[in-house]
Amino acid sequence: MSETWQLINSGLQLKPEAFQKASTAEGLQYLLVLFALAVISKSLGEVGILYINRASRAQYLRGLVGSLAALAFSALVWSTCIWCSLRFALGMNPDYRVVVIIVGVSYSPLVFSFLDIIPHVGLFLFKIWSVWGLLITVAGLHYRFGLSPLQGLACSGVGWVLFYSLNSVFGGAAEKVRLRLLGRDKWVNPQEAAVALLEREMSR
Amino acid sequence: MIDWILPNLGYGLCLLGLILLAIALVAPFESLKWWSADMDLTMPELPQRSQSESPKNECFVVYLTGIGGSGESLARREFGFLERLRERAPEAVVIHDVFPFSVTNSPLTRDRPLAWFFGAMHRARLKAKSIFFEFWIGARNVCQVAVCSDPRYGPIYNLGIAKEVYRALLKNGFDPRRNSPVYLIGYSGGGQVALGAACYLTRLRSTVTVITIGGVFSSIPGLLLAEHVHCLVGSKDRTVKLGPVLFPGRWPIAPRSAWNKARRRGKVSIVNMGPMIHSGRGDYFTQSVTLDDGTTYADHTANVVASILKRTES
Repeated sequence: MSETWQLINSGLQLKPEAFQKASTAEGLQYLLVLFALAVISKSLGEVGILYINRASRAQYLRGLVGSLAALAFSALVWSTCIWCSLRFALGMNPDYRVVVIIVGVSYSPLVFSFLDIIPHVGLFLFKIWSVWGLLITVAGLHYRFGLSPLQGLACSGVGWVLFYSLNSVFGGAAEKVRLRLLGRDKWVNPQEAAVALLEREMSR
Repeated sequence: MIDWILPNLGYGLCLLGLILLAIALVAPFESLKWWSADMDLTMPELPQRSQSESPKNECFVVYLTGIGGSGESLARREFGFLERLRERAPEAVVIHDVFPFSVTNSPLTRDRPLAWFFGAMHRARLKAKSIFFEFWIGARNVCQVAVCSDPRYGPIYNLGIAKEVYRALLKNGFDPRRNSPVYLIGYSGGGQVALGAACYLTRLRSTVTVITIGGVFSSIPGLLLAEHVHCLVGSKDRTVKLGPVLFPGRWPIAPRSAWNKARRRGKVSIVNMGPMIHSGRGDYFTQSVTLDDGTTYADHTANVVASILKRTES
């Protein structure tokens, strides 16, 4: 656990040791622990949304599995997008495993995403984790492939755009998986739900 | 003593930070638990249709206190203000028993796990004026203001408060079929809650006007839905300036925000109250400090609010 913490810590500080540690024989193990921590933290941060959706405990657990699936799926898609932009835009021949490791380390800030539940501030924190993750990716591409920060940013940016385009083409596939696991057709919009309830009561 | 305090100051600050973090983390759960439990939104029953005519110019004023409130009772200076308002607008039914920082209208000192703690703080601050006792109640209520302004939890929180305001209105003789105007007066963070409740109360047939006194609030749809929003602002009130800084919707770079739209549509009036501060001696309810013309601050605030009530009625 302390090794994983060291990995997270150096990842957060954009240090090259993080990517070296993740590339070792035990690296996959550390990354899996990091991933599990990120999923647990993220689902704690989203517990409010599940409350709003009036989810039962079983549904919450299914939502946890959904978070895991969504996060794993997005990591793989994003890695592929970055690999493609390295391969086709910069003419490099990168090792896909190394790209996955870089993306995996970039999930380090998500261990704090339980803080997203904080009212008002949580909305900004969510954006901070995303930008922080992007910076870690840029740093990783610099250390492992010698890309300049601008090239790294462009590569991650292209990867980002590709990822979101693919996701919207498939109609928010990751969200659909999560909703299916939660046993819902769509998320509850609290404003709409509240107004509907109020109007029903007022017309009694 | 100093030798002990200085090395441990860091630990003390860390502990304080952790406690504040814990308060912030649990803040949304009161409203979320209410939302999960009250599946059908059980609303109070409507009163029997009364045969008698409503008194001329009848209106309902709901006062929502600021973040210093514990829900136990209002401060004396607030009672003084409401008394002055009653004298100036005798046709107004003034309601002050809605605690704006609880969706179930439960005071901090009852029916909750930390009731003993907040009760002790509340009693202590009545005996001795100390920022330490005020701080904990204030911190807890500030987090509820954040819940109210958060687009994820706000709609639920505001519905709960609107329901409690509606219940208090009915208890005090409000008949939704009569179209009597409703005024929500929110002091400090109560201004945010008043605007939040207005999001739903505007679905009544009555007009709903919001008056904020030193209000700290976000860009919330209530600004557009209310008939009008009057913001009473003291020139020496620094806390009121937090709203336009903390909430991006109030920045000029967000032209499509509710705040900027409401300003453009002329729905918001800023009333300069003179050199009043936010809280303490010299605030909006102070009787011992006067304006240049000899009017006490408390009288001036009551005069301004009463004139808004009369202006809207006429």
